[in-house]
Amino acid sequence: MIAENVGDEQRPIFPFTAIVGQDDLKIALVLNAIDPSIGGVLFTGPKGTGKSSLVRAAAEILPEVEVVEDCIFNCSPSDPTNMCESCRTLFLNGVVLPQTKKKMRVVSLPIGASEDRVIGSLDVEKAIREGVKALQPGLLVEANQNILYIDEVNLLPDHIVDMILDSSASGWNAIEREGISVSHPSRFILVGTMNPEEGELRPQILDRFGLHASAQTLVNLKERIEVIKRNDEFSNDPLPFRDKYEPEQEEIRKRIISARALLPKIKVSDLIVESVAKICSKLQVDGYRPDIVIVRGAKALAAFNGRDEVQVGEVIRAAELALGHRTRQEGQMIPPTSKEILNAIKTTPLGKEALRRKYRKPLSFKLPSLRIRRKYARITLILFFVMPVVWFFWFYFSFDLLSEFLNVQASNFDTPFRTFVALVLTLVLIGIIFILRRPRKVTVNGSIGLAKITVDQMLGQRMIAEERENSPHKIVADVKLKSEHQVSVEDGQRVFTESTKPSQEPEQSKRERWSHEERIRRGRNYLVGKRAKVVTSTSRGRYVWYEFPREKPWSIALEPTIRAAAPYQQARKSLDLSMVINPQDLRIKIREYRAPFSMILLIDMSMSMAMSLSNLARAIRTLHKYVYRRRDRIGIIVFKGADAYVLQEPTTNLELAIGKLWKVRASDLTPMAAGMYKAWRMLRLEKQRNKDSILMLVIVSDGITNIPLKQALSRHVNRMSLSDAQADSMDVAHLLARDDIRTVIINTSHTNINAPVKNEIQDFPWKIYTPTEFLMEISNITSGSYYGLALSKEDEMPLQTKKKRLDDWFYFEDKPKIG
Amino acid sequence: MSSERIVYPFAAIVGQDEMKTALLLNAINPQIGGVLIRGPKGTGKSTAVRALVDLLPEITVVRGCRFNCNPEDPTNMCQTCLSTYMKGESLPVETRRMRVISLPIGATEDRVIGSLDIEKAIKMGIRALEPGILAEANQNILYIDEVNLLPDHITDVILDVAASGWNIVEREAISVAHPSRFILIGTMNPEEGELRPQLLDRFSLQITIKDLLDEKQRVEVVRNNLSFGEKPVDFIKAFEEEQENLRQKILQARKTLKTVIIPDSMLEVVVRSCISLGVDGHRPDIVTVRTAKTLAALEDRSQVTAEDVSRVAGMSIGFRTRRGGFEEPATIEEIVRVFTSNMKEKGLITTPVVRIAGKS
Repeated sequence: MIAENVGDEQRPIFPFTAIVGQDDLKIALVLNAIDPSIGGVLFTGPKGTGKSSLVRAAAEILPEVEVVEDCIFNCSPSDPTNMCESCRTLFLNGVVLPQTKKKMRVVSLPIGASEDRVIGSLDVEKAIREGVKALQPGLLVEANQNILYIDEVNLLPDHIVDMILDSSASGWNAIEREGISVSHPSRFILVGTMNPEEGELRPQILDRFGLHASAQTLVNLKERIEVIKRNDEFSNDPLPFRDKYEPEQEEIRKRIISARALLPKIKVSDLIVESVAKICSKLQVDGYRPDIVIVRGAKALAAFNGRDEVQVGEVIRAAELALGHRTRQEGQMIPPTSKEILNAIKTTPLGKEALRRKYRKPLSFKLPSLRIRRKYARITLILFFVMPVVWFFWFYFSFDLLSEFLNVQASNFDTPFRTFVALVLTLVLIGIIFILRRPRKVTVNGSIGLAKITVDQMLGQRMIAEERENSPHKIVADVKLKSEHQVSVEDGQRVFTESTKPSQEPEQSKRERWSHEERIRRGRNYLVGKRAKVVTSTSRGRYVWYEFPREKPWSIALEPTIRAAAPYQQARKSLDLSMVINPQDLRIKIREYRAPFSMILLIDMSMSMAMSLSNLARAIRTLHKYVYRRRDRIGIIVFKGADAYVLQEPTTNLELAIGKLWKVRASDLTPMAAGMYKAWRMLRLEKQRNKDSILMLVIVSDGITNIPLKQALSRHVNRMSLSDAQADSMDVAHLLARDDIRTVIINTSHTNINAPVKNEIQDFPWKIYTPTEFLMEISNITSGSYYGLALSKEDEMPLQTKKKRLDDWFYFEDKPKIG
Repeated sequence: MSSERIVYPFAAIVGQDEMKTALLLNAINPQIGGVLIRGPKGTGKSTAVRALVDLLPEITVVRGCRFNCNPEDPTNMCQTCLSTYMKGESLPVETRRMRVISLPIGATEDRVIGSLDIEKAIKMGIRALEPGILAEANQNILYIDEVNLLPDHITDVILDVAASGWNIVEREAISVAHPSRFILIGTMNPEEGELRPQLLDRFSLQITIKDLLDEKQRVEVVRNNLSFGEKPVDFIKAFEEEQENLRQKILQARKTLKTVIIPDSMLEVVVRSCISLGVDGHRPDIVTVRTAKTLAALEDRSQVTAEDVSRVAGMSIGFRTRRGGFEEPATIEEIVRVFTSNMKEKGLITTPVVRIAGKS
């Protein structure tokens, strides 16, 4: 009893069928179990929606696979392209390989996994005891013909991700390290879960996943109550709970096995293939992988439904699962929404066919809301039962009328005959209504819990979900700029070349702009160089070299250690070990990784700034591709009213940050010092979390600060400005300078200060800075860079240039040259 | 170890009722999944956590097992214990006090997860695991002081293990999975920086403590502290009776917990409130119900009342992000308002429950 329930997976797993809702996720997993060549699935969704539980639960419904007995690499006995060296030699020599059936497993890759465990490494035990150079297989070996499950895949270190990508692309894992040279097949179903709030996944790895399904927080009251109840029951006593769901589990298992058998027989019409290709080209998804995945997915779905032909509904479902995460136009466009996918389907021959045959209304009709629909459903149900009875009695009692209509004498017929005729007529009526109603409901089998969803129901749900999703992006302050911003010249020493009136000297302004662009290009390269700073560490990153241990050794570099011990083996004889290693032979691994980059955008949300908000959001969005590539973390702090607010903790997911930017309302006051202080604290925390991170602060403001800190940082004697608000900001700037935080200051309303500002009292060091002077002073203190923008009506710049330029500011790191 | 050290008695902690309740609830029902205590320095956060040790019931472990396996639960055993259990042999049992395992800020990944035992590897040529803190913490309390200052990669690992109850070691030639079920208690001082919201969500309960403003209470704190410093043994003796009462209460509550039921209408209130507050995921619902049940057990009742739910809702929902992070966490007032109106609608209460969590 216990042995059965515990099995080789020791943990009590929450049964697959006991998970409430999340049909998309379940279907995606089942499809992969039916056809592993679909290529895995990625689950996204907020925390606590049961993503991880579902994958763990999937282990129990998986079918068996055939493997070569005693082969450590889990080779397939019938496929010579998927065999390790020794198995293939045997196979090609005509030896029938001994085979057994093994249950498919879920091999999990924990976040803390080290490189050598993932790809395999030299076997310590054998090396020291027997002096044999043997391979200790890694997780990629175990994962062959199984499921490789990565929880929180977006948090996995880059170098491990690269390795997995490599072997998932080729199906092979080549080990060339520590004196070992082996390659072996490693074909696995890659299953990952991630919470997009914690950062984005690189597009390359995103594309590796065949399907994508997003988990939703359930909004249905009953379902949610059910979730709590089942959870409670399970945690109280897991075993009886599991027994309760065993029949359902068994049913799914059987369905998967029969679907696997059915899969090769499934026909795909040319119409469908053509339509799928058309959908993908219409949506401009990158590569051909999506097309293939959709067809495979639709086939698997048809097999699961027990059909031997693929139908429209299955294609729609498969397309939704296969396209939801694909980048488009070489990563320029975000993945298509389900609405776009449906629109694309509509234009294909298949969609047209579906429209003509099955739909009276066009595909894109809008449902009022789910609740109203449900109400209708109830009424229909009542009518369905009540109406036939009413009809029957009507026919029965109005038989005279009826007989007249049929041209026969009513009195000729007795009661049984009357009943019979009334019954027949009722049935005919029901039949007519049924036929009339039927075409509108195209059933899409596929959901496990709910056996059937009609296409229009599905559409309606999707649209509502989409609408809900879109609603938070209300544009609060999208004021179009009346005139374009134009760059004027900046200088640390406050000596200026005038360029705010370009109408008078158009030539010069143009030239300046070009030179500016050029400098930007230089600047970026400079920063790229800086950014590529490689940090060595003993705890994370890729193993590159070895060294002597300085403290208690761990993370031993085995091969150098053995090499160090080798010359002394003559002298150190041991009975049971073939290799004696002394502590002084130990070498530890040196690893290296790229320094992460943390940037805080400090944004002024005063009224005066509100008009440039849309531009700003656009500029931040252009940063997106850099963030992708470089795994930078970007946080946003805004200051307005009396205090500064953290809009976004540092994250690699910029879309999230931009979405939040729209929700901020502008206010009158400008507490810049508070904003800078908060940013300083946040950056220090980033540094604490990872001491190698490069810190950067970007301030976007017009420099009109008017709220000081609640508590001043220094005594007034040392202050440089008469305004408390300015003085406090400068104090914080000194803190920034002390912690070596790079700053970029963007002044959105740069004014010309040709004439030196006169002090009220001569020889008195204190004064009040103009906003522009003030921002320059800040940039001086922090030795950062300063960019002034000024409004100019005449010089209209094309949008593209401006976007590019704004984007460049963030990455420009050249300190203004003086003189 | 820490249990033999003289600790400040839990009963002698003045005020901070909410924190004390939250800790007791976790001691009764480890499945709640831990608590995060936020508060300024010097408010007795760490003292309270360490003091909890003295109240904790005893646990049974397999003697000699490095992972502190529970001998009665085959679903939570390491490979060695499980195979012995399967053969039908009886495992050597040992009862032991529950312990508080502290995770220092400077802990390295290998110490936390466990790593290759180097001595064994080079001396005997055996590939053995040197268990880490997560192995020690099994069936115990894992206490992280200043959790907001912990490096990200370590926090990720710990939270992952906390969620699944298993530590999978896949590093340095070692491949071992062992149970690691612990009560996670974190403390942090929000002045030193916030915790990432994603991590915040992994803690089941969260409470914020404030400085005691009542003069009398402050005097008592000082007096207690002075006498504990001077004559610790006498001081502990003075509180021994109260401590014993608390211990009995916990034991009793553990028994009661199995019989506590929650009416369906109350379940509906919780779910409905969570939906209208828009908190992400299903964890808040589950935690709220579980904690409310434990609270009922602590007060020796067999049914969850409206008051229980209102009291725990602030702890279990008050810090969670909403609508995919687009909305600020709900304030306690908002939570109480939503819960109260839902309860009224269901006819569970007529007058609002005055006691708000954290405000007595």
